[in-house]
Amino acid sequence: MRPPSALLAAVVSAWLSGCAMEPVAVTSKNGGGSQSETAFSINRHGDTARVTIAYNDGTTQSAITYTATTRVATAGATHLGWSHSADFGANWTYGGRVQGNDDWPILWGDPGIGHSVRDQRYVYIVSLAIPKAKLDTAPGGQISGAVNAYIGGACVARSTDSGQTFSLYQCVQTKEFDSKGDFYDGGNVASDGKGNIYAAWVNADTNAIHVWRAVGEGGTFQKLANPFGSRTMVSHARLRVNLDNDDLFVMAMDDNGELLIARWNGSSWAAVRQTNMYAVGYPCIASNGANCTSADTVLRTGPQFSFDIGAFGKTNDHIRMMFTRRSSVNGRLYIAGAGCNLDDQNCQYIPEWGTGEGGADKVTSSYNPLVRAYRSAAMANNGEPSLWMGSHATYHPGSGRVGYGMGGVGMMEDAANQDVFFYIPVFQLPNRILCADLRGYWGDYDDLQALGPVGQRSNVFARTFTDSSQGCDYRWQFTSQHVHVGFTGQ
Amino acid sequence: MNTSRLTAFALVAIVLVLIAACASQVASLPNEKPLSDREIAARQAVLAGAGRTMEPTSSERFDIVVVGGSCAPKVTAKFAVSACVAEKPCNGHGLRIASGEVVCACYEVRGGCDSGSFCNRRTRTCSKLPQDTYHAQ
Repeated sequence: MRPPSALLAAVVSAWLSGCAMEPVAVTSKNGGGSQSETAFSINRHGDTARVTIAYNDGTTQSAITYTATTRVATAGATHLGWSHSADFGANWTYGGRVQGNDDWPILWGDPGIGHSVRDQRYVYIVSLAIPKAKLDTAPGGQISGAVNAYIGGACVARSTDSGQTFSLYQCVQTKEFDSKGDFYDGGNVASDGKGNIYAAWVNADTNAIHVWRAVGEGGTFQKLANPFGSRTMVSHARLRVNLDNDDLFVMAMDDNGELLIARWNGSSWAAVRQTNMYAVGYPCIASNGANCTSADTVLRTGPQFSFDIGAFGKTNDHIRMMFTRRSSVNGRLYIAGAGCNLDDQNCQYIPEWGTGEGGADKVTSSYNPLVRAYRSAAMANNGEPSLWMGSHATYHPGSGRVGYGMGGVGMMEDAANQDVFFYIPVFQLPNRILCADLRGYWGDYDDLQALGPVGQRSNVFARTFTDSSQGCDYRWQFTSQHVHVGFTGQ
Repeated sequence: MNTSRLTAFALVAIVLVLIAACASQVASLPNEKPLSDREIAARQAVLAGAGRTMEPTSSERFDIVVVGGSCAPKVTAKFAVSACVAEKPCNGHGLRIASGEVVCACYEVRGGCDSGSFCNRRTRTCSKLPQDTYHAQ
């Protein structure tokens, strides 16, 4: 017999099937070009709260041109755009694009964003970047087609006004494999309560996660020792900080498919912990919802895991994670979860937090799982547990469209002291137009964050995503339209 | 927590969620009451237990035991892996299979990848050369 809460959750799920929150358009066709691959932060300072979204910004620019057969990028190209809102997402202002410099003439996006916890006027966006030394090797200084061979590090842009304006702050690179700069991919940012700013990428040339730290909001980023030692790490890294003691946690996937955790205590790395959880690696989806082939890809995706740190009581004491699996029954992607104790990172598999694997007739594929904890200082003082929200996207082959789901991720104990895990849908955005380019690119990832108190409401969560609701008029190898940024949850 | 309290709590939570999600069009969650020390300990014990383990399928978990080597073919694509397995070039890696034998494979593709393709560690599939589309645009 199913536990009562699970039954109730199922009923609620049915009730909520028509409960959709229409998103706000952060960018629109008026700006020209495409914007996707979102990451955002909520930056509070004094009486102000500003939401800043960073994204890959394909707004028309002279340094990126499209011929009949290819895309050409030259010095001055930048994909690192942002928008900001001072009313929790109701209205948005386009911030522009961060500009590179002579040594780093191209910023290629793939953004991560985060603020200093202690002083949220300071907000940081990280971006893949092309150094002059590598651009100079391109014929005529022009990169035609894919830019992978030219990316040679990453750059950090900083805002000192809570995410309204940004300028280039520092670029970082290693030369462990390539004398002109290793290929850094992915990017993630986190801060502790002391003003330490952490940024991480995967060095795709050496298969290692590189974490850089700036001591203080004005500090210089310097590379820490590799968190996963000599292990082969293939995914982007995800960073979270336990704000009770400022420990930094890094999660990434090794080449066996396992998700690993590294912990930095401010001076050294603890032994790497194995979660015994395995995610799919950067999957792509075919038109029928199954694993893609090069011929019929409708969507490709980014790293398929997320985690956060929260509390049952007065102190942070556990981790919840979400990740994507591929069913051996129907071949489709589905979401699962896990919970881990913070002290030893021992993890338990909790599929109830996900979508379920489904039976042989299931054709939808779910991807891009995200999970976030929220607890205000008042909640912590009251001993209230963290609130947990999860989200994911689902491709529906029947319609060729995508739906977004978001809901509470919980656990409790029933009368027989049995553990009950549940997912309560809060809202969904069904039937969204999919408009990926011919590679399947529609933004490799998007974001979920807690906005915290908004007006009279105390625990608001928000979601950003790629929005093609203005229609899909055009699909080509390197671009498609209309592709913009959407936001919901205000 | 007994069944009636559990149900009541769940109902209250549901009502609040419904109000938040549908009536006010707000994605918010209601606060939960503080837990007792016993409840906190019980939840931590759940996560410390050994009862709920993921059982990865053969397409999710791999035992890679050989990478590189003197006869490994040179592949320059990002995330490529090649190996020298049983003194033979392998367009993939050495994979330990259930019998304990080490074979050339690219994850699920036994024998490794065909020429013109490479074994992509990130996607865990054979990818066409020189395609490597898996990063931002």
